[in-house]
Amino acid sequence: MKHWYKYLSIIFILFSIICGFLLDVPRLPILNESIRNLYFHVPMWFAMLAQMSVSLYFALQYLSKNNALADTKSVTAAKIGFFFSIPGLITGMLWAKVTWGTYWTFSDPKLNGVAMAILVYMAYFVLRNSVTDEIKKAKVSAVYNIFAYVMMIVFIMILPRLEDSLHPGNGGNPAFSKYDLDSNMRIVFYPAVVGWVLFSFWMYLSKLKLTLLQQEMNEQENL
Amino acid sequence: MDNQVEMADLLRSDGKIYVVIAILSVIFLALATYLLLQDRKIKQLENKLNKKSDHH
Repeated sequence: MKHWYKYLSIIFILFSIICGFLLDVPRLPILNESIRNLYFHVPMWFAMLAQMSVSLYFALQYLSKNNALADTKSVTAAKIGFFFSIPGLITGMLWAKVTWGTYWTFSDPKLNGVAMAILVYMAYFVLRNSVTDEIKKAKVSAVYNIFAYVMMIVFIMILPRLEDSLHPGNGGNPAFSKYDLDSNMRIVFYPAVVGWVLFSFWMYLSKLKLTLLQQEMNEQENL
Repeated sequence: MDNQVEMADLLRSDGKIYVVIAILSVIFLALATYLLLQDRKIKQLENKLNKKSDHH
């Protein structure tokens, strides 16, 4: 079956919606039922990371093989990854409001880090649009893509672990805190992550096909 | 002590949480269906364009 990943992502996400509300979760003060946000908020970031990794992969491929298709794939993946950072941020802010008491706090390195990472990728799109020469554009953005990815990893994976963070598993402890030990939550959390990552790949492939169609149509018009 | 933490027990025992699950599922399925249908349209366009370029 050619479209297996589409149906698998639908099944997994649907499973996470149904079981995410019905299965038992640890009874923790402050978090209360909002602990279920783990099933929906965290997968957004996994989807973003997955797409940015795809983007990096094709940026590297462009630099080694110089084919325009790799550049198109790279920018398409970056766009989908960027898209997922928006619901990731909004869901995180809503969750922070009820648990940490504020939508945004500058004392949490992960929040600042993710804001920086998003800005770095916004600069990537601005940079692309500012170069008119197609080959130069592809080359410059492939090189910048490597920089952006490294900065993102530093900002959201490394720095938050070196400082104290409100996020669980940070502040010198690179693992989920005690609620990760709850096997009931893992049953829902892992399928949710896989489901949303697959869904992001689906969106990526769909957007890629559309972009290639547009390119092809432009070429035929120019004939 | 664990049982004193407030959870939506009443909501779940009333069965009303099912409505929320149903609504969220409908919304998500609608989005997924939209994406599936859009993929089909893209496929049709691809086929059309490929036929056209074969004639050249």
